[in-house]
Amino acid sequence: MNLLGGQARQLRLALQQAPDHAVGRVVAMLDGLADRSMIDEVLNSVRPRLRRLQPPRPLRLPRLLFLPLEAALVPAAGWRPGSNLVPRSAITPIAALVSGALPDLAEQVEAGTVGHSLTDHAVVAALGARLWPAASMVATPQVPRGWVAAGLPESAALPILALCAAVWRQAVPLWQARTAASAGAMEALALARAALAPLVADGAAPLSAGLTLLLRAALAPGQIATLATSLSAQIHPVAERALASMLADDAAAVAAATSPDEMAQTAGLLARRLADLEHTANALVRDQRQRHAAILRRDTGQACHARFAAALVETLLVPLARVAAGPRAEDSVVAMLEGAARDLRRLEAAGRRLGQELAFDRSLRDAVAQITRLAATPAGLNRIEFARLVEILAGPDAALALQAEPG
Amino acid sequence: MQDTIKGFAASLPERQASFAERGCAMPFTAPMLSGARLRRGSSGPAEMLLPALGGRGVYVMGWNACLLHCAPSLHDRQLWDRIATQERPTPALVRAAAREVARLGYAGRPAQAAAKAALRQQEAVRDGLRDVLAARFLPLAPDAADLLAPMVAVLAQAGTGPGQLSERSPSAAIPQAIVALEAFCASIAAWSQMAQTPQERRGAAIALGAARMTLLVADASLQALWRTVAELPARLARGEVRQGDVLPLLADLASRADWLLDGWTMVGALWAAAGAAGRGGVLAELVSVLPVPPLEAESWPGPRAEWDTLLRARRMVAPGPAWSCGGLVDLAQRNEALRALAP
Repeated sequence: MNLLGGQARQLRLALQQAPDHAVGRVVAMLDGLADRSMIDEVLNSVRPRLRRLQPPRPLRLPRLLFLPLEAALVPAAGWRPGSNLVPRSAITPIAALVSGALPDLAEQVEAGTVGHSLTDHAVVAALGARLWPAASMVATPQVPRGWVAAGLPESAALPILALCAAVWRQAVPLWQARTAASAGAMEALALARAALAPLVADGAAPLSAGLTLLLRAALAPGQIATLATSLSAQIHPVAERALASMLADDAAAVAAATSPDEMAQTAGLLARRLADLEHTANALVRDQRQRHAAILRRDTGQACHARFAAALVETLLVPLARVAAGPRAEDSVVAMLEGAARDLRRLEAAGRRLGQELAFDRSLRDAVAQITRLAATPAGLNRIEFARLVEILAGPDAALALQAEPG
Repeated sequence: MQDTIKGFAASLPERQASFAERGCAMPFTAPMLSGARLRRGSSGPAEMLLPALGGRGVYVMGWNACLLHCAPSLHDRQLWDRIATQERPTPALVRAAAREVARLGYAGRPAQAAAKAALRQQEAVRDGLRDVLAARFLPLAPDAADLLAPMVAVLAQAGTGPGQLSERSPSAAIPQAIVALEAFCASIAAWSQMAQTPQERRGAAIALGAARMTLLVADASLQALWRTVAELPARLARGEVRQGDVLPLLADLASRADWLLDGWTMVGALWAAAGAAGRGGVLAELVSVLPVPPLEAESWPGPRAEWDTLLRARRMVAPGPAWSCGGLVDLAQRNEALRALAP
């Protein structure tokens, strides 16, 4: 597929305006195309949404090859020579170089990826363990075929290949550390040390790429940043920049969430990371981090409460009032109401961790009072079902209070 | 009973002396009560036993401490109220109370429907038993007519053997639990062949070992009961057994399989509900709540099992409870779904 400029613009515009479910479908279709030369440029416009939506993306050799370098990849338009980063336009020529130098392995890896996506973590780890170390051996100083045609200067080939080779040499331990860090596993820090320590000798660019890869995935990035700084003091500004950028992305994801459930997930992640960053801050960065955290907490906490208050009325109280006044509710209706209450509870729990506790308390108190009034003359639901809604929303003690009300 | 956490691993051996000391598995829905058991000694109020946070040992708590620390749901409070007042809590009493609480709707509509279906099935088992026992006992031992109604009550959970009720008759709770445990064994054995990590394979091996060892002795106990029931009419007729001894004998045999299987229904439901994708994740939780029979079971019929070896292996895995990873809302919802799956 070769997209002309006008078509690419139209597709980019359409993607930007498309609803979430449609973006996932279109991206899946584009991912299925063999020639990605223009696709990456089109997808750049929706990458922040893709990070948030995480649609299943098919596993292919080039994507697998560059997974450990994810944090160093930038859109070609934003890349500058000497930036210690890798333009996305370099993926195709470098992947071709690796496939050409390792034809048997490339064929086996391609066969192994068929039918799998990036979310098949075991497949990614197993195929990566074969591909990455081998790729590091063939990424020797040269100008890959198709490099200049991809719009890249010849002089950039050597430093970019050196960066790739250094990261691929450590890619297996890096990926293990990333997996553990994203799950918040206890062994994450030890694995991160094992992965990052050898990168120190390779210079700032590979260490920065490896560290950023771990930070972006980690539930506790502060611990990993502290570890990296202890390995190399020079990496400190890079770590702080990466942390600030990660938090900004997290906060943006909270603001952009399109449902209470998604907002709960994104806010929960942000709250966890903020707590870790404040906990691990040393005297040098404590004030700066606390100021940044306070601003993020205030803004995202307010956003969570605003969404909570609106969704409480829209998804629970209004439908409940209608159901309460009607005939005995169908099972599906009760499931819908309980599902809404659970989404709200998740959002409230995550939002509380960011602040606005009094506001959440007030909203919950009002909601429970309203449900209790409806339960006084039960029709569509019985009292136990009203009590269950209150229990899901505000806990068992509030539900007991409803049950104790005369009625 | 104190209102704070009373003891840790050191206060309770991993294997209790008796089933009464080990307590009954309680199908609570609050995430922090996952794996809870309830026991009541000869004196004093009922106590809760909870898997310890570090994955080794057991907490002993009073109900007030539980209210303070574990946020029991409305469902759990109802269940506690019904069982804690019993002089001798048993798995059968817990099953009946849990069905009643679910029937009232405290675990949601799906669990309510499942409980109603289970209660209907239980009634059908009783009807079938009445006919079978009358046909077997009355021709040989007509004096045993007064025993039939209490025998139905005793055997309602165990049935009287395969093929003795008509093929369309529903199965009693204990044979059902054995079939479910066999299915669990087959499923986890197949899964462990494809497990990705050594930790998963180790967890699967522990769970499978415990299930197989339980299956052998539970099945032996049930077979012993069914054999006894089959032989009873002739033995009564010959005067080898006194009528007054019949009910205690059957009650003892029937309770053995129930105690041995106690807790496994929830383990099987947990595994089944996880689905193929979630099984690696649920394995640690499952291993932390595996029912380990007390020393009392050593003297029962059936092959000897290497429980001490298995417990040593479990200590190496040392899983913590699922709720320690958060997601309380989802876990509560899942636990309610388990009530629908295993009413």
